[in-house]
Amino acid sequence: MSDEVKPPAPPPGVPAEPPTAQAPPAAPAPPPKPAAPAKVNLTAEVASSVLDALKEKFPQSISSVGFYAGEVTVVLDKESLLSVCRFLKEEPSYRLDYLSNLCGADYPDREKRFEVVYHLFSTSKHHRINLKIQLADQEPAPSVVSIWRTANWHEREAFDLFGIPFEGHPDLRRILLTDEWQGHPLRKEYPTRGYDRDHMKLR
Amino acid sequence: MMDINMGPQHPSTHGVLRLKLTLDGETVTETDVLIGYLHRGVEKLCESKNYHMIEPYTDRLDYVAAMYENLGYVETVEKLMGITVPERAEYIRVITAELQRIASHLVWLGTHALDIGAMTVFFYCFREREILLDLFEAFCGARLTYNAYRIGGLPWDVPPGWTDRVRHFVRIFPERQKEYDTLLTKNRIWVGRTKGVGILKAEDAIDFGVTGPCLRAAGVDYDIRKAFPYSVYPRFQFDVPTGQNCDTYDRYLVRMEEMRQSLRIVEQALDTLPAGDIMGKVPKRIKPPVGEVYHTVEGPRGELGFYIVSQGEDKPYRMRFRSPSFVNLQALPHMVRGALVADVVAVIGTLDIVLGDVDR
Repeated sequence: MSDEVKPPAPPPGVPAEPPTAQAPPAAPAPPPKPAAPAKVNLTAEVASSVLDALKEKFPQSISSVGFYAGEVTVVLDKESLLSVCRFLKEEPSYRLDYLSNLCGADYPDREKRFEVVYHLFSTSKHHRINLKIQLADQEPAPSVVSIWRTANWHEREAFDLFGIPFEGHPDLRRILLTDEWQGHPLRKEYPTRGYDRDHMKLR
Repeated sequence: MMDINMGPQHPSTHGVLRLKLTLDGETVTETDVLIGYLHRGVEKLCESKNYHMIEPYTDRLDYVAAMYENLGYVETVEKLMGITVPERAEYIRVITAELQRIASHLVWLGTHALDIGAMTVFFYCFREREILLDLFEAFCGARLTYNAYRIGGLPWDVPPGWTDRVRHFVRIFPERQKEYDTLLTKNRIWVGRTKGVGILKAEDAIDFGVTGPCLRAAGVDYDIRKAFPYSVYPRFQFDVPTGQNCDTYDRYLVRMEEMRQSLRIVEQALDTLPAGDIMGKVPKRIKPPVGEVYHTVEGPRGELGFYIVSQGEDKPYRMRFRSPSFVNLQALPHMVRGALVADVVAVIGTLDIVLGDVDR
């Protein structure tokens, strides 16, 4: 335990010369400044075999396709979500067996204000795709718990914080907030400080 | 049949986790995991903060591995904006992030062993973690909530002599790790308490979304640093350790090996650390274009995901943290079904949850 010397003294294994002698910033010749990085086209289309398969197999279910920073996002009809998910999970050449993330998003200006986003990965094939469905207020989303058990808590959280009901969920109740909580905090109209916090005004 | 509450104030739940255990004698038949005691609404708060102001909030999610939360967040914003980060900054990020992985695993090992009754390991682990925290303090001034990176690079270069201190740590740590080994790996009590406990098979793990060491201990070779490489990880040689028995003991072995591999990465990064700038070309006001990204990094506990929706403003429209602790915890009822109450403690320890990360 004797070598437990604390800084600022240098550790015992290090030669006791002034530390600045080997300081990395004092490198002899600073390399030339890199040229300004080329403008990246963030919305460029990228090839995706999963997307091609979806286009071929479910042409009528795809409402739109978006590309951003190399990611492919497919907006689907709510009705076909389950069959698409089951296809992507079970088809041997895609095997999107791992639902990394499922979450809601609120766009109050739209006709269908809620979005549920599914981020799918394949642990064996190492590819990915994002799916999305759009929902009106109180419109239930089909639950994907029967396909990926991990969706259970994600859907409960989306129900808790957005008030999106999930049809077919085995145990839909609040998860992060208390059962008596009024409202759904991640909705845009919900004030950041909450509704009952007048007594917390800054003094 | 009896219902019994474990937590939210319980020393072995590592924070404010509450479990409602249904017991048949001493056997657990059903578990209800009740969380949210530490919910702070970070995702809501982020919607009213600009991009620079969010980074300190990420520190407070997984406060045992805050450096990695910072890394995931800044990388997501950089991906959202198409920013290129200078090489030196990337290397320093990798060095600090991998040291953070070791520090985080040390907390896991110490507390996990303490829960099962091995007290000495705790002191040994925190002895080495102290060296790492001193290194982090010298680098960014903080010991727990670092706020160490900036969008586009680093706020400061490493201080003089810092790399030598890291090298010193790289040199002494393998010996120290052998001390933990001698205390635990063949210890009959440790083996008895961990072998065959909390089995999580590969297909269940993937189905539950469990990632990180818990998934690899089930034999799945899935590490985001290899599967979807980010930063400068592809330049370094390292192995992804996996287990076979899917139990608590294998998860222990996997994490121990991960520390050795992290050390390898740190050593290689120190050897090839380039000189140069530490900050890329970044506008003063971060205003990403309209778009959305989901970026994942391999944190010490598993997959750290960040989903940002930008509407072209200086604040994110929607910010979502996909925390590994939250998702991994979901597998707990499955892992303790039919086990003894004492094994629940071992399983909580092996899942390595941080409640700040679970509740957000």
